[in-house]
Amino acid sequence: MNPKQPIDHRTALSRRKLLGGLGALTVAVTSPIWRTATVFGADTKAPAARRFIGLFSANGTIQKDFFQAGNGSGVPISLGRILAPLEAHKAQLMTLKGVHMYSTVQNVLGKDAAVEEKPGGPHMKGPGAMLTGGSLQAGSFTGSGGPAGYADRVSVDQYIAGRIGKTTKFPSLEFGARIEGQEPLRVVSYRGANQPNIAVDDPWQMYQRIFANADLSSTQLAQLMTERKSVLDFLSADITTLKGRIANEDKPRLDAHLASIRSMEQELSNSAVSCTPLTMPAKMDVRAMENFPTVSKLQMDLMLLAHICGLTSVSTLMFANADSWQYYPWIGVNEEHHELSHAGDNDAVANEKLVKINIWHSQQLAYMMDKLKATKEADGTNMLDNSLILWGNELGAGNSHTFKDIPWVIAGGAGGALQMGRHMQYQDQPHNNLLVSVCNAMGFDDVKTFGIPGVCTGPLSGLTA
Amino acid sequence: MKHQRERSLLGLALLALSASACVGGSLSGDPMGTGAGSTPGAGSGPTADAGTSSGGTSTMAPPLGFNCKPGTVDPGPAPMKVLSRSQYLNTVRDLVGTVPGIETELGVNSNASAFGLVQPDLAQVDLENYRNAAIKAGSAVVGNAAQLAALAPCADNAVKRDCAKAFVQSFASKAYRAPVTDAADIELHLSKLYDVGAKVSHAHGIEILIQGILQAPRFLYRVEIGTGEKVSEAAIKLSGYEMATRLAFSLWDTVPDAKLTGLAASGELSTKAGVVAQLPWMLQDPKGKTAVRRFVENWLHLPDLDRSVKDTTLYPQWNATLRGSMRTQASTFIDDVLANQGGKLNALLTSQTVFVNKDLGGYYGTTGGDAFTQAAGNTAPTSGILTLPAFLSLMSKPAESSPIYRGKFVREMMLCQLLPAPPANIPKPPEVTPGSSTRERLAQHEVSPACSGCHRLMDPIGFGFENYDSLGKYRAQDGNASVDASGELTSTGEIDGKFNGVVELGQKLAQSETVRQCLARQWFRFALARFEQSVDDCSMKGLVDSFETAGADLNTLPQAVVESDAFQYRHPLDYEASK
Repeated sequence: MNPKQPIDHRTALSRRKLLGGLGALTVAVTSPIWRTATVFGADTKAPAARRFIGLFSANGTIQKDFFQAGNGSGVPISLGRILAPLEAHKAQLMTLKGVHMYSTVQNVLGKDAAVEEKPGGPHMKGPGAMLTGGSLQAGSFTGSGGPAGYADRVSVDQYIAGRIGKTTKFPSLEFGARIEGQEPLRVVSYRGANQPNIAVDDPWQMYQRIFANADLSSTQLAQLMTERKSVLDFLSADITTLKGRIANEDKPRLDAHLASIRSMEQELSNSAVSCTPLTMPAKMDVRAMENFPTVSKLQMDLMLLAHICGLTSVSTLMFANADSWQYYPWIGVNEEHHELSHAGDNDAVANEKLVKINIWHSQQLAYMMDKLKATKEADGTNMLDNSLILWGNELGAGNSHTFKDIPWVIAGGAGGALQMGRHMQYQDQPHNNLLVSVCNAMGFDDVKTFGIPGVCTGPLSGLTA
Repeated sequence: MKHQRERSLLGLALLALSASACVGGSLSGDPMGTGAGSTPGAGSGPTADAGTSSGGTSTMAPPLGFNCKPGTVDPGPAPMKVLSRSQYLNTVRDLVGTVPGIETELGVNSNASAFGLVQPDLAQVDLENYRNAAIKAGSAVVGNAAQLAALAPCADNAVKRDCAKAFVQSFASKAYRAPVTDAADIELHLSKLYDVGAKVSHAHGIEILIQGILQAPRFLYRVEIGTGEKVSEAAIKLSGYEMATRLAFSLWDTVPDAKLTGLAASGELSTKAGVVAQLPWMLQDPKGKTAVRRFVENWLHLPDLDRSVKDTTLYPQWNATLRGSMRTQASTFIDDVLANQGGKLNALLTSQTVFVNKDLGGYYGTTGGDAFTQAAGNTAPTSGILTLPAFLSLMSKPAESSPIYRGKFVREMMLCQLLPAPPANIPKPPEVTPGSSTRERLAQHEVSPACSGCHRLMDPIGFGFENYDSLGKYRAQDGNASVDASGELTSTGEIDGKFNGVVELGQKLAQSETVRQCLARQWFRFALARFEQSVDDCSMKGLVDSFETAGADLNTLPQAVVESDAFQYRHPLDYEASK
């Protein structure tokens, strides 16, 4: 290897290491990396990759402080109190009203389903439907008004990962901050029916996953790769043998297992590049109520870094589980979010606290948008221009458990596919249509329907640029 | 198929409600139905059948009878299961000894449902966790010369690869709970695992073998093929090794030991009598002595205590030490009931016996020492597991008690009745007066018709626990008012009626046949890691009858389930397809 190869000082990513082949590519990224980092390893000639980030926060919103007044659709966005922290980004922001999670209550014919066909309480149904456009299977989870199981189909992030995630180290990464409690409150990302991607809510564990073995020499790393590959070969062979012997009804489990092994193989064959943020703070109790903002911040940093380092193009981040009983003492809210969310519309004190909670969540989105915007793509755009961030919630409002008027936010430039900076007002559209629009904006024009077919009627009108 | 698997959960009784019970909000306009198919998977279980015919009545309890045609042998389905977290950890311990840090490597696994009844398919993160845990196990062995020599002995002059082959035969056989004899299979282990590691060193080859074997699907899943020996159209016998594995995981929560494997090899487990004959020594074994206690702990969700969050401003004492003491107090009490109080369900629910140490002395007006001792002069009303601080802390909110959680537990886990889901579009709740007690705040549920339909099935039971705060400590006051712990049981069948406080509640529950049957159902689910279904009626009837005959002695549950068709046999592999 030639030590005189240039080093890209904007990111302190060593091109020498990039060219050094398998195992030699342990790369240090200065921390904080966010001072105009450049997407790592990108080809200057190709247009920048589109990215999808799904965000979840819980317990509905305060509608009047979230959505702008008036019935105009396609009008310039005007930010209310809750979204005010995003003022600097409003040209790359869109709010959508009138988009309901009908898939939690309707069947394949688009008709109201019998209650027993749609198991689970409202807080459970929401996360299961938010990205899937589906609903929950029957099951025995009873934590939040069950019984119900996991969701019944693939979520949009995983659909997208299936199409653009083959060349990155991870097809997708699922982050969380204090996702607790009973299933299926803890899951928005699904590979398929009964295939939850339960997010990792420990940043230190995530750090290990993403940046493991950064300290090994190239010889050691090569040996490690060989061993890992060979073990995976062994496991694949074992599954094949086993599948020939067991009952048919058990085979889908092994198919799912094999698919996960394939993802691990992909991780190995694409692990030539690894960026390492220089420091993680001392380990703390990630389940402690008061550490929520710190854990959230670390997870956001790790998630963005994984995108910047080219380790994935698809991710989700759950800020607490659905039905969240998180306190927000750092902004003066010393009560449970869920409990507060049940307060009546005229309870000014409780509503003020709920607004504060939601403002805090807007600030988190603003932080991520700041960082993405500061990250230059090789083609001269910034990473925010090429990202589509979809922020949703399990409910429209906590005190009515409504699945209507979910506080949807689309953020980022979406590669120019969507006409941003507007507020959209729809007449009772299923959110399945929004998921179709998301797929289309990500470049998959062939997607005409998403989730439960009878519920979906095609992409949302008027979104595209 | 998958859908059916989910559907098959519904041997459970769902509380069917009248049209007026849960009104408001739901899109269908008829929220829980009027009895017309209000039970998911209706028809799949005895209780579901009964549920559909109850239209018009206000509520129903699960029927107590079972529809068992004499002579029928149907073991029910036995879906492939992945090892539970505790089974995994115990097994690794039995295979390679203590592995420091392995729990951390496994990550914060979802503890999906109490007995592992619902298992999602494994995701990449899960496999990475298994991989990292296996790496830890491998390096723990290889890092310890004595341990390595014991597990994988190899004389100085021996051919190293032959030693590795012998290791595969011994170690993988134990890990897979079946002899590994096939030459190609052994060679696969050697070529894919040992050989790549042996490039570095022989020990490293063994290390990679351990890594691979501990990630193998044959290790992670409980796979059953059965034998060609048919007992009925629906039932075949298990192989001796498979039976040994069922026994070991059910009673020990880990893999068979050498003795049990030896019995499997010599054919001792090929008859029901032979299998049942193993129970006494297996239950006397240290691993078996805790089987029933483990069941009770899981039934009460106690393993989740460490994940329970409290408002540490209000409860600065909430730390791992206190939680540990609560768990030990609970296990000591349960052991005492099983060993010294006849194992009776009645004692479990009503016993006045309390064990304390210094962390918990204050709960009972005493001090307590370092070790747990039986508390004398306990001043707090006590009623067995119902007043255990560990249980009550779990069934609480971070800053206050939760009559909802507590009532819900009694309804679902002790009466085996499922509550309907809350409606999707609830009307706005009434405003709440600040500073009111928990009970006062929940009283709105009774006022609002949208809430009362469902909450009247939980809250009135839970109110009986109101003398216990968020940490399960007795209190006479809540807020500014004296605690009102009057409650009411409804829709339970024979124990309906008002009661005051948890002691009276415990007495009522202890008299209930529904509760006894529910406990037997829970044991079935625990021992077989699946829900009972209508095809299990004969197995369930046998189990329930012997529990009743034994005066509801929990110590008799292991044998009762082992004798059942559900435990003794399995469906032929092509059974589902042939139906």
